[in-house]
Amino acid sequence: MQIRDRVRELKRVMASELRPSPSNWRVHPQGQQDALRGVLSEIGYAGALLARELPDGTLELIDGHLRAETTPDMEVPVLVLDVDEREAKYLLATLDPLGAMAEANDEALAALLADVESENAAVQEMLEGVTNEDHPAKIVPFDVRPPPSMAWALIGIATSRLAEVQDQLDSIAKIEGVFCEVALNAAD
Amino acid sequence: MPQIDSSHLRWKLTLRRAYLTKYGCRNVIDCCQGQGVIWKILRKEFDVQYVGFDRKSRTGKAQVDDSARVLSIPGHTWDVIDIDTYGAPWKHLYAAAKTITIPTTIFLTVGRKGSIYSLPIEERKALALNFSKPVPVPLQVRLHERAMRLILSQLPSKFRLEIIECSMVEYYMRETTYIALRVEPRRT
Repeated sequence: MQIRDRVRELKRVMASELRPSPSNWRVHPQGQQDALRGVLSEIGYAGALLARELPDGTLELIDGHLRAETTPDMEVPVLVLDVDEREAKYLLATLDPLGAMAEANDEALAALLADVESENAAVQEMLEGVTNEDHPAKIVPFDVRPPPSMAWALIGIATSRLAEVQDQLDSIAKIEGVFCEVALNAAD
Repeated sequence: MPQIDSSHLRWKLTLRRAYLTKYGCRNVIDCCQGQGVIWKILRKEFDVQYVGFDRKSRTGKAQVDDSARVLSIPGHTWDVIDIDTYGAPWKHLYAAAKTITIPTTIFLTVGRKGSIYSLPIEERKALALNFSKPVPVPLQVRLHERAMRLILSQLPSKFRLEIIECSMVEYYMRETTYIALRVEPRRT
């Protein structure tokens, strides 16, 4: 498969000069607008908008409408693509749905979010929503009845003879409520 | 940018909202506030007096260790004690338990990262696990839940507190346990 590079150039353009696509199908609820403002204020522009050049030289947006609306008085980074109207529509229709097809690795997500930092309430709210919507919290009673008190037996044996008692240790470990663990401690 | 643990924000909030709604709240001490995200949100919902302690040293800010000391001073009137530590909350819990004179809601975050866990001294004591040799790590991981239960179940006998209710958040990964505890001084 031959894959073309359709990026013509990176430009910095006043956001208010960018023309919205007449085919833009995305609408942006208040929560998303607030979260974007939060991300922009805490991080700034870390990605470029996508646009194509019209015959009159103006740039028509393909991706990044909300960013452009949010920062109209700012020079923003724009990747100018060498795509025609038909291809621009193709991209408009596929970019967001393609990203939305990704699934979450719960463990990686939890680890990532543990390191995510934000002071912005809207961003925090967004992250709260991201956190494992498939795994809602359930509040359950915590058993605070005293469990049986524990007695501990320490068994020591030469490492070379451990095999002699392994079966017995395995049997002990199977008894309910018994904690049995073999450790090969080296001498100090 | 200051750090905020956003990972399980929703679950922490769910637990807190449930207990604060059920038992009410007036004076809150937040022993490990970080950037205070949790209580920034909750204070919009609950009318409380609030004091927070940060885990890191910053100019002019009270620190977590200070909060343990403050909790141990008799005569306080906090009816909500939030111990959202990143490790073991037991030092704070014990400090608070000695001085509680009014019905109090306590929130605990008991952290355990991954499969490696080193039982804190309070958990080892509760388990009567007093070997001088290192205890095998897998055993420590397995004993952690029992240790939590032991510590909480010992509150009535150690500190003359009555446990009215105790709950936890049940979720898919149990590396950290979120506990809510309602206690009252025992009447004699």
